[in-house]
Amino acid sequence: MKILNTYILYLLIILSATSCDNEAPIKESQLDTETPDLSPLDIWIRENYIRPYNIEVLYKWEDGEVDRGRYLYPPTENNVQPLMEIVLDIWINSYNELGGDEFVKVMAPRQVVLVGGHNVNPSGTRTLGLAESGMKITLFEVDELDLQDKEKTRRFFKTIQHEYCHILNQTKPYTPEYGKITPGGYDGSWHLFTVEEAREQGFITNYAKSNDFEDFAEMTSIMLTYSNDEYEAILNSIQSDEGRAAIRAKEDIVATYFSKEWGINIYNLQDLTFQKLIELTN
Amino acid sequence: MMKTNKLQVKLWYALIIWGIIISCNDDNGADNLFEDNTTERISNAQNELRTTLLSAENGWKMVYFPTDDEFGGFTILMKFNTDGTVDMTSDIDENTDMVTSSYDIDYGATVKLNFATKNHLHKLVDSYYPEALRGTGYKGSGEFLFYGTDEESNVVFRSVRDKEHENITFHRADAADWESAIENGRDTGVRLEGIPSDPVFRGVVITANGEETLYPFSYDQLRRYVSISGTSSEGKITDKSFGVAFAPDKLLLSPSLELEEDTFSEFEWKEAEEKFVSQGNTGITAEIKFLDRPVFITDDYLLIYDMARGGHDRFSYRDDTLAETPYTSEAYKELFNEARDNFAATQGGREIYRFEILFDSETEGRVRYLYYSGSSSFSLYHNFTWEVVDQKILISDNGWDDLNFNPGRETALAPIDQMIFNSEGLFVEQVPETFTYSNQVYTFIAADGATVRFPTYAAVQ
Repeated sequence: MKILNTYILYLLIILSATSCDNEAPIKESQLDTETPDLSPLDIWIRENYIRPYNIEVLYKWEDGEVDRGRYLYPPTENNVQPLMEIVLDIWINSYNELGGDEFVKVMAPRQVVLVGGHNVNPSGTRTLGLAESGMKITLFEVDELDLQDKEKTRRFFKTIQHEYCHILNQTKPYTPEYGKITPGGYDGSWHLFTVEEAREQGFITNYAKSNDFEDFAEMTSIMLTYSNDEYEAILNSIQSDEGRAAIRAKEDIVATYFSKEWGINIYNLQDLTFQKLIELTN
Repeated sequence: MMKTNKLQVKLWYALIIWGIIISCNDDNGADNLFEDNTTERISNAQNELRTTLLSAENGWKMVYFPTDDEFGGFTILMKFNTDGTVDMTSDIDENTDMVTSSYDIDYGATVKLNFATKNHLHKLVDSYYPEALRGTGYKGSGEFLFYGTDEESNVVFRSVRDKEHENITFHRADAADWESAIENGRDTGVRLEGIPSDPVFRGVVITANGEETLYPFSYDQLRRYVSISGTSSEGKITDKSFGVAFAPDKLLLSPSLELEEDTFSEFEWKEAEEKFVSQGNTGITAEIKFLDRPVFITDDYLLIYDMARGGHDRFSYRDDTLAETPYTSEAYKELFNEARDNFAATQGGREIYRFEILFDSETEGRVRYLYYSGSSSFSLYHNFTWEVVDQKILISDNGWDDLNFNPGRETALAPIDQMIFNSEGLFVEQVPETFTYSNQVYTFIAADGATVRFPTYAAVQ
């Protein structure tokens, strides 16, 4: 009887497990999985950024990619390829030339987001670029780029070098000693100081005063968008010995960081990027 | 004890059998309210929007009010193409060239039309444009949520940014729209702006049962925004405002204007009479009219030289900070520039950069002209007597001071002199804004023609 009961129990369990097996067979996806039509620009981006470097270039508007509270707009489509050709040359090729062919492939943001207009902050200052989690760089004001204007072009590439430096820092941090060089000078109201005032206090720009993370990126981006002679001239224009010494100390840490962590001589990189800037704006 | 065990076993069997029975009742939960599942419905809505947008032979016309409590409307014409591009023009500014960009049909809160790369529309989503509105710009959006089509086959959207806002409708455009809607609409805007020879005062005249009531009217060209705020000719205090959009020979209002228990939603341009006229729902008419005096004259003129009541006696026009305010009229600019150029041309390049109206006593005062000679500043004084006449300040010539005077300078400065010393007097109005400095700003309007208005910083000598 006990054995019979056990069999009946097994039978019931099997029945219960199979009794509702009337699911519809799996069909093809209801989602549209077809590759969208690619424009010549999309194909160019695929060939030059996605395939070699796995970097997605978002030039079409996606509201989730930027702050929805700001009044921002996508770039003019015709500006995208000329701009990204230059980015390829000045940024990716420069790093690859000195860091090895794989450098940017391994150490790159996975997305570059392009925004046409100005990103105005509540204080009235403008954010020129953003780097997030080592994965994404957002570049603002791309419609403003004018290759006839050396200073505008320089400022744009300073933004790229600044944000890429953040990506590097977000992957391999620099020594905390950097923040101890001018700890008292960091100030949320950095925009109330002129660049000259900031330099006298030991900061390469006024934005460098915002915090040591931005300070490091400002040092790097200034070094990579000015020639060594121009850079030395900036330092020589500083009246305060303490201010100049502080910037020199920061420069040493930046140079050591690039050499030790990334195997790149930043002064060689400086020569290369400046040369490209000159060729471009001439 | 044995009996209890058997009973328990039976109960277990009963429970399992009952479980099997109810598990197979083929109940798929709630009844399907829709024939298609969610994915299919989204896909269908996207296809519907795409097909509709492509179906309009002459494209679409949108009159977009980014927010109707701050800005007026902008007309945008667009034609969608099958390759994912859209051709667009607009009346936002003087650049009306056709521009091609990309659009996408995405999914957000619902299916949405995304103008994915820059075109005319994005001038309304630019925190740096126009220059005077830097920080926010016109607060528009480049994405629109799809809310279906209406009975006239127009497409209804709402802005992603302002979901509470009224529907935004894409109307089917016709060939005539492409030929003239933008250009003729901009002409309507120019008519509303007026020309330098128009008076600075304007009013809305409401005519009901043969009775006329006049309300003050001011138009902010930059924002395409109208304010009917102040005291009417009948002593009624009103505070209304609305945005305007331009159509050929027509102003479109949003929100509609409600005055004298009637509603006005558009004004038509009457070429013969050279004025905008609107017919309300109950037969009341409204006209926008230039006036040679304010609808209501405030007591601000009484504060001249009345320091005891917080008034002032020194009023300075500085060309470096006050030349481009909304209170600096074009007719004034012409006069000031003429005087400055005359002075520079006849006085060895000396440059007038400021003038001040100084009230020295209850009857006398001086106009002080400040000019640079090299890097040094000098002054010239034109004495006057003054009095209050008909709620205006009447300033009369009382001869030049000898200091730095020569007849050539008198001739050069005549354009400014004539406006201050005009025989009809000066209306005086304080304005709510300040410009560059914290001083209160008073404006003076030459009553003679009422075309010349200039702002000044008020101070005490």
